[in-house]
Amino acid sequence: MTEFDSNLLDELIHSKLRLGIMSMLISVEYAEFSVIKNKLQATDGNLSANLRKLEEAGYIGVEKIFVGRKPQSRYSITDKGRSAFEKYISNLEKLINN
Amino acid sequence: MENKNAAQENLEYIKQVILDSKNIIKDRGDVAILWGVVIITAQLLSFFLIRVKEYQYISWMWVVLIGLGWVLSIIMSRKKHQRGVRTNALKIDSATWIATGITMTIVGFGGSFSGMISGYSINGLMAMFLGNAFFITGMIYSSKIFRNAAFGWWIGGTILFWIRNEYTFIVFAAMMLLFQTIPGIMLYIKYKKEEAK
Repeated sequence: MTEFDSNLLDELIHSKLRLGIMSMLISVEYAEFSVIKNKLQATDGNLSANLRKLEEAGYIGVEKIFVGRKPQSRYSITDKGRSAFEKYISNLEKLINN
Repeated sequence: MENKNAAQENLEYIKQVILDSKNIIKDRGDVAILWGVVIITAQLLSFFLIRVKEYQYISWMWVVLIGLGWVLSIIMSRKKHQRGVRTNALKIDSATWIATGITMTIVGFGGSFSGMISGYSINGLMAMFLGNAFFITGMIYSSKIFRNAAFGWWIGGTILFWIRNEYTFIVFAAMMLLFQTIPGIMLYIKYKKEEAK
């Protein structure tokens, strides 16, 4: 992904994997860790680290549940994350239209 | 210029991920097949019971079959909820079908038990409700099969208003096969193919 020379863009979203996570979660109600991993072709460690960053920023939430005996971590976008993502897109559009 | 290209590149990436995510899991058509089988069975049994003049069993047969359909639907929905992802489209689609199912159950039983709707008129009404739900599903998933099925239900439902004898059950069973069970099977095959990729 090409680097921007701009302060307009949210640093937390502006990394390829985190942008992928946010784009995916904005279009689903929730997604489980392994689904995100497969869709974005990320490694466990890298994905975990980036999910944690977004979670700490309050952009995404996680729900840990058991399906049968298997633990599942379901991630979903928060209202704060949705607003941040919309702002990010709007700033991208501004950059294109300038 | 470089910034513009990079921004464009990012937007394209976002669009692609969103599009891929929306397509992750579509309706697999299993519930449509289940209700198709349940209703075809109930319609054919209604026709048969009227022919042999065993009217007293008709209402109970419907209660048992519709009850069974709901129990199996709830089990299937729970399994769907256990999947690793749930799209917003699936959420809206499920809500549409649950609302339609509840409306049909209330109108079907309430209307016939109260005597407000004659047994022969109910099928026409049900076809209209199904037309609505199929049209919404067709729009959500951009599915031509489901959108066309909706028109089949609306046209068939209009014809059913003129059939005031037991043949309404045969016509409805045929409509259920053509406009629900077969599209459901086609959707299921498509889903399995996509899952195997």
